[in-house]
Amino acid sequence: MSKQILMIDDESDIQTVACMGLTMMGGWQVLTASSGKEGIAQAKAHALDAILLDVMMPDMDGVATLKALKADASTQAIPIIFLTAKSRAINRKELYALGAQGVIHKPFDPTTLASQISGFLGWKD
Amino acid sequence: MSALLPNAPMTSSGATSQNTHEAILDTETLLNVAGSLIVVFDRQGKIKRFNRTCETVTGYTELAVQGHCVWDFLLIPEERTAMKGIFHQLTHGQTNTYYESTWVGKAGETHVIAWSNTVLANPLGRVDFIISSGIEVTEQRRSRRQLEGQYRQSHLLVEITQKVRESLELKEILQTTVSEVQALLGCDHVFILQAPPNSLVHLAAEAITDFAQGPAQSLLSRPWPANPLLQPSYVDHYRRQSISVIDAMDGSGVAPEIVAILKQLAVKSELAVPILAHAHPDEGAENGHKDNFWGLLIAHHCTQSRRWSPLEIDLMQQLANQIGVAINHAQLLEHLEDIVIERTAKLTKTNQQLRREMDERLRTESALRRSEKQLRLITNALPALVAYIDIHHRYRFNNYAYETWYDIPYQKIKGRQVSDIVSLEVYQQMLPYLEEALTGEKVTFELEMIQSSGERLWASISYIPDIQEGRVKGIFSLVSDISDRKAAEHMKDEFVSVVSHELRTTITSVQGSLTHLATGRLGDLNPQGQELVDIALKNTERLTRLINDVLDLERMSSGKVRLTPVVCPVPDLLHSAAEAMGAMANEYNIKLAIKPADALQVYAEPDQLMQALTNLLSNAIKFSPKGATVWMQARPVDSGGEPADKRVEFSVKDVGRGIPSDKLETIFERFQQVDTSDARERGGTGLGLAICREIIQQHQGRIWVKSIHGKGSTFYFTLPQPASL
Repeated sequence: MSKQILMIDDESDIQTVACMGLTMMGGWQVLTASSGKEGIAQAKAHALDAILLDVMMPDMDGVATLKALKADASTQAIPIIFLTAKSRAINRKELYALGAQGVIHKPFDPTTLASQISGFLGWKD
Repeated sequence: MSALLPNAPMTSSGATSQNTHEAILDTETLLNVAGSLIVVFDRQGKIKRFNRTCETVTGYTELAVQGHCVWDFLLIPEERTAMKGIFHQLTHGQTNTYYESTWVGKAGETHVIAWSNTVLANPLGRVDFIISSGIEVTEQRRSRRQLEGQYRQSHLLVEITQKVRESLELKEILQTTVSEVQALLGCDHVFILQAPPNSLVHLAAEAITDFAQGPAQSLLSRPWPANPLLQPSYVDHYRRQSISVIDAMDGSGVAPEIVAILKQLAVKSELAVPILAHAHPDEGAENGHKDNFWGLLIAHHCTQSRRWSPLEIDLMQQLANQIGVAINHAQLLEHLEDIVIERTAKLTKTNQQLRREMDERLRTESALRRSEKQLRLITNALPALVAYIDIHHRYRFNNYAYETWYDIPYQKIKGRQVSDIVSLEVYQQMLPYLEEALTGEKVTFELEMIQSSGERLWASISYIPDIQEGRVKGIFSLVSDISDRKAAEHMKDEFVSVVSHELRTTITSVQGSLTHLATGRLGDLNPQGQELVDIALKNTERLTRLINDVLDLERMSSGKVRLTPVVCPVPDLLHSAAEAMGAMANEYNIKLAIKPADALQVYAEPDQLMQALTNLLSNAIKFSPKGATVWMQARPVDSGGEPADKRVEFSVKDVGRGIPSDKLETIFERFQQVDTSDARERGGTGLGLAICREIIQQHQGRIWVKSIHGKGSTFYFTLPQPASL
């Protein structure tokens, strides 16, 4: 069964690379949003299996977006996996503590991205 | 008459009176029964009668002396002229002449006789005869002289004793003694010899008569050794005796060497008495107050032999004793004077020393004041807070900066409690550090503080204990505003964070795109195209590692990483590391071997420790020949014996190319690879070992390497066991 994923990242190049991997390798449907605000709107509008959320974004960053999603009843159940360009290990614990289901560090391998997400969420291929 | 004046010529004139006189004179009995000496002289002084008493006393018979004048033979020479004068007076009417004269008997002995005279004159008044009646007074005179001598001796002794008591001038006393003795005893030469130990004998005082200054005595004026008296043999002879009395040089009982010396000086009689005195205080205390031989008091008689009377000997003895006392006094005085001089010198020295010390103290105080003034000037010019805080948390010194920080006149801070000056919140934060510093530990910490203006600032605070004689007397406190540094650090953190984000974001796109291309899902590339994509991909991966390593190292060396160590089972760590590196080992065809580590535990942050272990394994794999084995081991080590020293030693061993000895020192520095091409060829960053070192040091561990170039290397590090933390 095909999964529907929302990717929120202000970098369109990364969106492109990631989308290509997820669709080609996982066969998933990928929605994209360039900001937290846009992402929240998308999340409310679609039935999502997971959200891939960039941590550092202008205006509303990943942490604020997560909090907003968790605060909203319609979106709070959606599993969220962070994408971060910050140093390894440092705030991984903080991010998990916020309620994230997984943390993927940039740069990531687009060809294994789908299996990484499946791993975090316990999905079987 | 004939009996009285035999053969007396009869004068023709005045026959009556003459007869009457003759009748009287004829009385033989009268002449000879009297106990007195009776001599009848004619007017020329010639003896007419010489009674029996006279014969007995002188040894001359009347017959032998008749017709002779007394001054021709009987009188001692020195009285002869005087006698003639007396006779002249008697014949010219002075009838009451009483005199004494000294006769020399036939045997040579002397007799002192007191005479009274009667003149027999004719009617014309002419003196025809003189009748002298005498009594021998030799014994009386001798007794009187003896008494006078005794009196004079006693007087001299008293005088000298008094002088000894009164005068401290030894030279004067000695000179008086010899002069008085010489006059009193009528000696020719009286002198005192001093015989100091270990020194030459010398003449201390001397009195000499003109009479004695003959050619022999000229020797006396000569110095040693020409002067026989100064010969050691002379003094040494008397050194052992109490007193030496030589009446005559007849050789009886007198030592030959003394006879020889005395003969040289024409001495006929000698009286020598040793002078004893206390040992001089400077000549060693071992003698104490025992009397020692000091010298000699000697009297010489040269004109004739002389029999020294017991009285004279006693006088000399007593005088020698008194001289001894005088010497003791003089030596004591000299010693006292020496002591006074010495004490005065000491006192002067002490005074000078005291003065110097006082001057020094004044100079020191002045220098101290100057230095204190300078210190105050310097500390007041410092923007930092400088203070001295005592063990009761009271300020004892503070600089001007306190006034600007706390808005309190800086002179009014001294003596106040720290808690009165800083806010309660700050004081509570400071307190543990303050108390730690007061135990003798130097403490540095950072604290956010509030100034009087309400402005918050970051301060770096150092407390340096003032330890005197092993006790903490207080602490020097140095507080500096590090707000600017904090702001700069914050800016740097921001910058690093942004750069790291931007770099990773960029690389993510590049690497992701290349990965897609490399899979071939977007269409096949020709072999060259495929190769180029692989190269690009490999280098983006390396770039990623480089960025990660640079950021990790920056983070760790800036001290921002706060370790949250936990107890980790060592076997789990080793297996996890091997598992993480399994793929790489397979790729390089390397076997990873783990030596079981039993149930060891370490206290560490697992992520960090894994990073260190995987870095070491990665290096070992990269540099091992294909098919080789890399060993990983952990074992307990006990470096001291104290439980706190229990540690676990990890090691990673390879049989690779090894490290040249000159690189062993620098291998843990950044970008210090064995070969500069390693980074490119082996995909390393040159930071792996530097990161390992940071990690191990942060865990209070130690890292080192042993390597044989061409044979392989073993990297070691130690970590504390849980019990020891």
